[in-house]
Amino acid sequence: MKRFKLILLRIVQIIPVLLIVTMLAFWLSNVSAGDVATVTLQSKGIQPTEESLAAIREELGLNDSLPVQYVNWLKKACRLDFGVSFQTNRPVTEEIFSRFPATLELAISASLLAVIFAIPLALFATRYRDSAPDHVIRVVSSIGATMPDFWIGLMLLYLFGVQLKIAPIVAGSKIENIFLPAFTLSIQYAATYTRVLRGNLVEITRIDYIKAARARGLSEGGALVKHGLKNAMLPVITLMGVNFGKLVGGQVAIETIFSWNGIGQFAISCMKVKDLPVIQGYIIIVLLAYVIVNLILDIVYMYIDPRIKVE
Amino acid sequence: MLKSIIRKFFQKRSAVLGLIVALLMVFIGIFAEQVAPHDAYAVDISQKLLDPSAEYPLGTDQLGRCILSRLILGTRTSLFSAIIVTVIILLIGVPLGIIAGYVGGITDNIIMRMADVASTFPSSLLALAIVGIFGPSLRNLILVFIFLWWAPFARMVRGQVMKIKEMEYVLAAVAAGDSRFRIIVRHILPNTISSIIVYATLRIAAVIVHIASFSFIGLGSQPPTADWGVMLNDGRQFITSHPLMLVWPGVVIAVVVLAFNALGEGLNDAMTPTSEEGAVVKETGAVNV
Repeated sequence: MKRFKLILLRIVQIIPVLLIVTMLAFWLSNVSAGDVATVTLQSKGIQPTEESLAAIREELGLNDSLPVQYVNWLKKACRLDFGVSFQTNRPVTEEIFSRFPATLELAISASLLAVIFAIPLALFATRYRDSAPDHVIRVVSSIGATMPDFWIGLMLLYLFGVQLKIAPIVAGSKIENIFLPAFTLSIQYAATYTRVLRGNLVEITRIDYIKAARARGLSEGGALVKHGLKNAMLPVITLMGVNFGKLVGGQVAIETIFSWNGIGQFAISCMKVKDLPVIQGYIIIVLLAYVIVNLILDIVYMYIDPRIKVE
Repeated sequence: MLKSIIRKFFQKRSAVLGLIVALLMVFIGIFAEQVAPHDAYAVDISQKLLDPSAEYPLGTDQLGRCILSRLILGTRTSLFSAIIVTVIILLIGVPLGIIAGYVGGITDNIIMRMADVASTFPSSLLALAIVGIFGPSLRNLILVFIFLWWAPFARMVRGQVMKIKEMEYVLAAVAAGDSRFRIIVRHILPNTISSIIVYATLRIAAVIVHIASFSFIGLGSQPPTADWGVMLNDGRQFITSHPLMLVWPGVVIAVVVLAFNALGEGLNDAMTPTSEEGAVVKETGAVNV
């Protein structure tokens, strides 16, 4: 029952966000209502005249009051109907979902890479804490967490693409080219996870069962891996979830740099030509994805961590 | 107290280095026109894409503009926007945090729910929506950051205030009949100030990275503005022929961000009592655009 209440609370918290964002997205189409009519006509290849404009305004419901238009728009948005892209004349939803797998591949690879780097680094830093390896890892990870990822991406692209010629300059969403963009994205997460994990591991080594394991003759490294890691990972998993939610929304800068045909790059290219239906669709779909991922996380987390209580 | 903080701060080499670089950057930002060797906006196609020379220490870009001068002018754009954002979120976040933490009850609830809403927005979505409606500009981007980032400030201050108001000297002041306002100004604020300074310093670094990355993808400063993100975007098409165009702005961003972080961490270590290292929650410049 308490869990149910907490989930309900989370949903209630999301409502204002949904309201504000949907209103902003709706406002987009009203930025220049005249334009919407003209642009829609032009995209259909019809010459905009007084009559055709009036007709299309009627057809699109642009003569209704704003609240009515908003509700009508929202009804359609609930069915994920955002109209057609001005550029390609294909349904917005289709355009976005066809690019979603590319973004998802990147999000998953980056998350996994981050943990793959973080775990050994954190174990190593804990094993040799307060000595040279620990200090080096701390400095490197604090630099990694603060560097702008898009710049690291540009530099890696130059190094591997232009100088060493072992990676293509245009990756084109091919899975064999995923390493570079995924690695670039993973750096800051790997850095954060390393710091968090090291902190947790150091805490845990002070706890009795690690001491007991050591007393039973397990090496310090062995005790850390066997008993410490499992417990130290929990906060990292939470962070991973939160970051995954962000990654699913598409990484505009990284996708652009590596010509990765994901939803982030698509949204920004539509932004430049004022393809408003796509922008609206993107905003709503990504927000929903983000909200759903976070909700699932909250629920999953409640079951794996009994300490979470209702506030 | 102050003396020991200063002594402790100056004992740490990275903190002092951060302070020097940060001050230097502020100086360069203020006197950008005087420091820059050329006019950062003077287009001269006959001088385009030159290699570094005595005339143009870092070469010229695709429109023949001096890259060094543009970097210097970019310091103003970037640093000053970051300072503006940080000051405004301080002005919003700190009073709200103090009120929430001190008054408690329903006021606290309302402020914290507002903060929850602000922290639930993915920043790139809000930026995309705002920029879509009002057009891309640095000013609109700054508004987005203000809207989103007063919240962590308020939350941090609230936490501090809740701790401090249970302290004996505050309880004594209450018992002595001091007014709420007097207690806040005399007892609460001075004791939260160190966390606020640390947090603000680290926030400046984060804002700089965010502005650069949003400008890079076209949602912030617009060409021909001298902005590090815009410069990186300009340089993108010359990655094979003139890679240095991509190196310089990134190096400057990296140096500034590391400097402000080192400064922030140094202040944190100096101002928090030993053993409680890293008492202020650190939010690094992790950006996902």
